[in-house]
Amino acid sequence: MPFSNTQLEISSLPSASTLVYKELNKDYLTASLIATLFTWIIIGVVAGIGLQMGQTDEEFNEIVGAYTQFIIIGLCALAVLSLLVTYFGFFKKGYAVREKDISYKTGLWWKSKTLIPFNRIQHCEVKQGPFERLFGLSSLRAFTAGGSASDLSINGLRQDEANHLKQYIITKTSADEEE
Amino acid sequence: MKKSEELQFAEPTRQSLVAIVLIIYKYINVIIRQIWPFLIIFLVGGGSGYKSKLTTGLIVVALASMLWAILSYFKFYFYLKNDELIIQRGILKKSNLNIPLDRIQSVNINQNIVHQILNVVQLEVDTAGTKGAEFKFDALSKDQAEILRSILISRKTETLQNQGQGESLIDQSEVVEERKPILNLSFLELIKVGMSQNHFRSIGVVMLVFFWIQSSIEDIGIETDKYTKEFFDFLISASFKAVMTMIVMASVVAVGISLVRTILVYFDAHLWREGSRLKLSYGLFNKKEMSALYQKIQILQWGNNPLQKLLKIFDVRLKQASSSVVSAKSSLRIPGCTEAHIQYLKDSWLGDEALANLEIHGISIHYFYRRVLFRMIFCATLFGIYFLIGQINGWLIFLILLVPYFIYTSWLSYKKSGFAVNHSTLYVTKGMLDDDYALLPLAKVQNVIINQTPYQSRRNLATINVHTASGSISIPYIPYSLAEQLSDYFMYRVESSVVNWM
Repeated sequence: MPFSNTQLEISSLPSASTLVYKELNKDYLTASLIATLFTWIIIGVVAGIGLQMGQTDEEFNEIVGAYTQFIIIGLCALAVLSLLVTYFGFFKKGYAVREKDISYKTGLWWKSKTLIPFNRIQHCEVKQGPFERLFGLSSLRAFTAGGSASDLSINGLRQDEANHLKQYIITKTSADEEE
Repeated sequence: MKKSEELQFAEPTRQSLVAIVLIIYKYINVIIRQIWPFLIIFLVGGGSGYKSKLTTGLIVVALASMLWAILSYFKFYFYLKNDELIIQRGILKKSNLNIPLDRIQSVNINQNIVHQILNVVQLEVDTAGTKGAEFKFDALSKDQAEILRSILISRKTETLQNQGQGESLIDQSEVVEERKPILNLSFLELIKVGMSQNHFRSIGVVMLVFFWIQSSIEDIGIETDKYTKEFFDFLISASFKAVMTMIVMASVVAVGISLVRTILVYFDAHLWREGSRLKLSYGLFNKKEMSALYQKIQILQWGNNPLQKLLKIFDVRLKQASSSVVSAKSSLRIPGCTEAHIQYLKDSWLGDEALANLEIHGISIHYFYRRVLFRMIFCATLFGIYFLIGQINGWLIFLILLVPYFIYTSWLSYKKSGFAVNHSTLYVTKGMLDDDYALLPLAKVQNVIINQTPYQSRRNLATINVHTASGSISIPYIPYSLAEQLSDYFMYRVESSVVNWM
């Protein structure tokens, strides 16, 4: 045991490992798939225009021309891969709210789990991106003084759910301050 | 604070008159920094017609900035009213900045060479957590600055005491800000510090400056490619002897630069304690004075490189929370500390009890395997490139030596990585050739992130990152279950803590 000094039993502490993480809204999966697809369509169009325009240029043809098929195949493969990652990654995302903290996990291969106690949250905000708006979804961000890299951001909440959660966090943080 | 002193700032006051000079100096500094390559070219040569135009341009710029400086001096007022420091300024666009006194976290006094000549100081007001409310006075007379600072700081202490009824946030008896010296760096010690700097960094600085000058000159249109190519051709074909000579020469230059730089920056370094804050001052031409409130310090870091180990000195860093997270300015670097100084800092910051029973635990051996694997891939690539170039010479020895060097440093890094936790403190060690240590009170933790790479997932390992308001600390490659236990424990400590993190 690494804590030889503590009076309390570690096993008696509330453990985050037994937390049941709430999956994000299914609509968010659709929204993020569409967003990914959209991004790749834009990339595809730009690449297509680039290749078309390059055809008139001799030097360009010499260098890139022979690889045109490979470029197209490569881009398609990347697009499919990122769609797959988006799809399977969705099921790895989840959040859990406890009495005194909130946690969020994410990551298909590179996994991460963030834990933020309510009494360290400085403020939180509810945001809506263009694709989220289509599905009536919102994302919640909680800011601490720990820097932007460590802030928590939960995507794919229903609008009312997000506002509700935000309200809950705000009451929790202000309650802590009063104590 | 005495009312009479405070009254002196009740009326809108201007800065010291010599502020005009300093504002001009500031503008010219900024301008020169942006156009200096052109200036060099201008001084070195160029057509005569071109020259006269440039001269006119420079005179216009100089006059304009002078006029601007004078106007901004006369349009600048500051005063104290209703427990706020109010700053009015602006020539075309008027602006009013109100800084509530109880928000002010630290007030620093700096003096660069121009300040020293004119016998004035620069006063820097820093607030934590409030964006855009830091402020710098260009020039105040020394007396004025001292009085203003004591007013600003005394207000902070008063509010702290009001908040902290019952809890002893600040020891009552220490409010009489008595100056207790901790460290005074003598010239000999300063030389020790200079000799034991990281000289590779000095080489890096030289190279950066070199490349910067090169690109600046190229911007103006002088071909440097030819010389650089010759230089690199020489490098590639260099014999062992030539390589050794170059290394020796570079080392001498690097040591010289580090020494001069250290003496300029850390001349006459003093660290002392005034009540609940630590103060640090140093500098030959640019005198600086910085302070850290004990309560605001989030992480205490110290470490030494092999040279410093020989001389038994450490570099200490006090990382404190500020409005701009992890800015260099909020972290105090104290050079040339001994073991005793560190002990004093630890004890006065956290107390004995918080440091008891810190038993070090190691990390997983997979950290070593992983590191070696990545470095071997790097070496293999280098070998590949080397044999593609196809010229066997002195560099080969260094490439071959790279392999055991990487294995050795990875092993050191694995051996030196460790952590210890007790009821209130996290202690983390790391290092390669250096030794680095960090202390972090658990109450200062903002949040915890557990990360797992695919490699770690397969072996059920994880890296835990503990974030504070001034940087983070990570413990790499520990069993996943342990990472979870640790984060549960940190959460428990933070959530049950009543101590303010700032």
